[in-house]
Amino acid sequence: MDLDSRSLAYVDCFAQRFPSPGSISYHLSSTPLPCPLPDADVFTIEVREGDSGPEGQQHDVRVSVDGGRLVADPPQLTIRQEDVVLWNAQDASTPGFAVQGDGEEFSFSSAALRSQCVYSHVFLTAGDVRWVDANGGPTSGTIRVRSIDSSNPEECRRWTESLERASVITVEGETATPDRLEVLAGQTVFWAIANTTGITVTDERIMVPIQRPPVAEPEG
Amino acid sequence: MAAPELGPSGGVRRLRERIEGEVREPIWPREDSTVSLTEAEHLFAGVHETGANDLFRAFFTARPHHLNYRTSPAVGPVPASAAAWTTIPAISFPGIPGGIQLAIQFSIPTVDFHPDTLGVPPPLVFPLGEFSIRTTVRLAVLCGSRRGDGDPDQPGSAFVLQSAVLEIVGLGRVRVQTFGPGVGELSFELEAVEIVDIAPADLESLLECLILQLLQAVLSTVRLPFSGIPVAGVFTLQLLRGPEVEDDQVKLYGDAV
Amino acid sequence: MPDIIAALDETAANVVVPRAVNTLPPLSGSGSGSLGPFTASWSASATLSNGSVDLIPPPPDVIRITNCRLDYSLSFSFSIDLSFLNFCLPRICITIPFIGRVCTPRICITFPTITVPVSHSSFVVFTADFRLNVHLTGGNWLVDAVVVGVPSLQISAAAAALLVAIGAAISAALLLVPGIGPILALAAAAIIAAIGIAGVTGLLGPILTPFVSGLTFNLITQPQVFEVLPAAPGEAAVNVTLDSLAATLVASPGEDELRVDADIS
Repeated sequence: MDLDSRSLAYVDCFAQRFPSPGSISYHLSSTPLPCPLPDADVFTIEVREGDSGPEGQQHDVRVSVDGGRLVADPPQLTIRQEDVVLWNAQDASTPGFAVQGDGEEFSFSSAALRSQCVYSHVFLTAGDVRWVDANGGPTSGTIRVRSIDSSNPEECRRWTESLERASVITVEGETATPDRLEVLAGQTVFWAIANTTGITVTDERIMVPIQRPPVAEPEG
Repeated sequence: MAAPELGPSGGVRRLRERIEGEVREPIWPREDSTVSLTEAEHLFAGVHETGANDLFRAFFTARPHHLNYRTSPAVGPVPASAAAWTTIPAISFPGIPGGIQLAIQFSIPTVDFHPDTLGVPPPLVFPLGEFSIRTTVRLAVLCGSRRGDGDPDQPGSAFVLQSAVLEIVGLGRVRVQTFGPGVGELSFELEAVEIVDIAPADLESLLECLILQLLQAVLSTVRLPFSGIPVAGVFTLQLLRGPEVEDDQVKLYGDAV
Repeated sequence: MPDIIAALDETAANVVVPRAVNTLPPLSGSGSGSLGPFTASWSASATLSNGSVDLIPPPPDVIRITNCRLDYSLSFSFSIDLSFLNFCLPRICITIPFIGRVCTPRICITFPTITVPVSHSSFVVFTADFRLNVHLTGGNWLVDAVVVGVPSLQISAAAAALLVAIGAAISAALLLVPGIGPILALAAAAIIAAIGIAGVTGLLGPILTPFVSGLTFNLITQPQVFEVLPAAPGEAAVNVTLDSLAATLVASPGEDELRVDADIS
């Protein structure tokens, strides 16, 4: 499972805080297009006025495949202002997906992390990972993933305890803090996006230079 | 020949003596179960005289021109095929136009490896380690006289084919030449011949000398490579001992390489 | 008395027989077999060489080759369902000032079925008895040595080496599986233990045994129409006919011999 917020795998989560009341329509796609395809299923979130409490409430949406299509469960949500909706694949059989939605005054996308959202990833394979913004921004960082000798009881205990601990990288503007992190294989890293232009968290090794086709001139 | 005597093993002990009176070594008949074939070496190849005669027959049947020599078909009409003959020049002689026309033909020789099975005529003595050889030689000459020139009572020259067949018994040794590990050939070298019943003695000696040369030349064409010995030729023989002619066989001893 | 006699003692046989064995063409085979709890699809090739020759006249009338070497190359693959390694991560919660409290759901790490390819080459040494078979086939006299029964292969050392090779292949395959890192060594050990020496022996034996059972090598091939001398310019070829051929093992005082008799015409 590659590190790529544009394609959420079953070890990834995307959470978005909804600060304003209103109706939100969103879709799920296996391609990170910035706009929905004509036949995309639409799911809704109704954001009511008034918050749920000091920390807000979390609502979980499980994404799976039904009839060859990505579906959200529940397909319709009613939440309060400041609540958080978290999307996660139901299991390993769910293909990578992106979440993109719009309201009257609000839009969000897991393929362009902008504001008051979280992306998490479980690192399973040891090694050094440099993550970058696939949308071209300068934001980046390095994560060293270490493995342990699980045949050593002490190491094994240390590892199982570490699985309950999270590491957090905060991204404000173009700056990621910390930009270097060391974790054990199996641990979860959170990227907390305060305010950016819309970044991705993508393993530099899977960044493939894309030759963009010529853009058609607008009519008229 | 001395009367046979019983030896310690119960076998028959025979003494062979040369005409000159030399006493030969006794020859104990070998019993196969007491000695291995390879003896002190590791590879043995033996060609029995029956096998050798099969090889001779095959050789001279395939290559009859090594038995038949003629100056012209007139002196050697049989066999009819020209390929079965070697053409030789006529014997030049003053006054005989075209020389003396002759033909020499040998029958396919047969060999007898020691010990003597067929008996050799005196004065030949069949020694240990040799073979005897039997063949016939046909000598033919186109004979005629030159009539007097211009004599009306004497017609022109007339030639008659005259031939004689002689039985030949010879003695010889098997020789070997090696060219490298596992590569060699056997040859048959004639040492003496005896023409049976011809007189006077000087004529016999003359003819024996002549025929010895001819038959030596014929036998020199027979060269049996190790690879040409059926079965035995499969094993690459590095010759260490032999050829030894005994027990009706020519024997080769060596190593497999 | 035969027209031609050839004989080898054991010293010469130790030159001739290994040479005949060494010229056997490579053997090959393929199939599937059990590797402990797994099923392996395999292909293999083998060559024979060397060996010490003992000529043993009747009884039992055999050519015994000891320390004959069977060199083999084996390629096989088997599938392992790694779902026995599945485990679930605990829920993890964080509190972020500008977002609030976020908790991940229970994420269960699942492992796929993997295919493990293994390539391994080694050898086994064995002893086998052969009996002479003389026959005229296709215009050729053949003296073959045909194996008696099924030689027993001592494959324990080869099985141990193969188990090590399998272990290395499993570890290499597991390295490619995401998430296996912390439990790689445990997973490899569990799989190897499931296979065990017995599993490898159970796979290797049925693969190698057919290479030696029914083994036949040729000692002598002679065309029935045997060319004594080849044709040459102006000379015809000289041929004889091999009327009969016999091959026996003979006991003589002090040594045993392989004797071949031939009659020609």
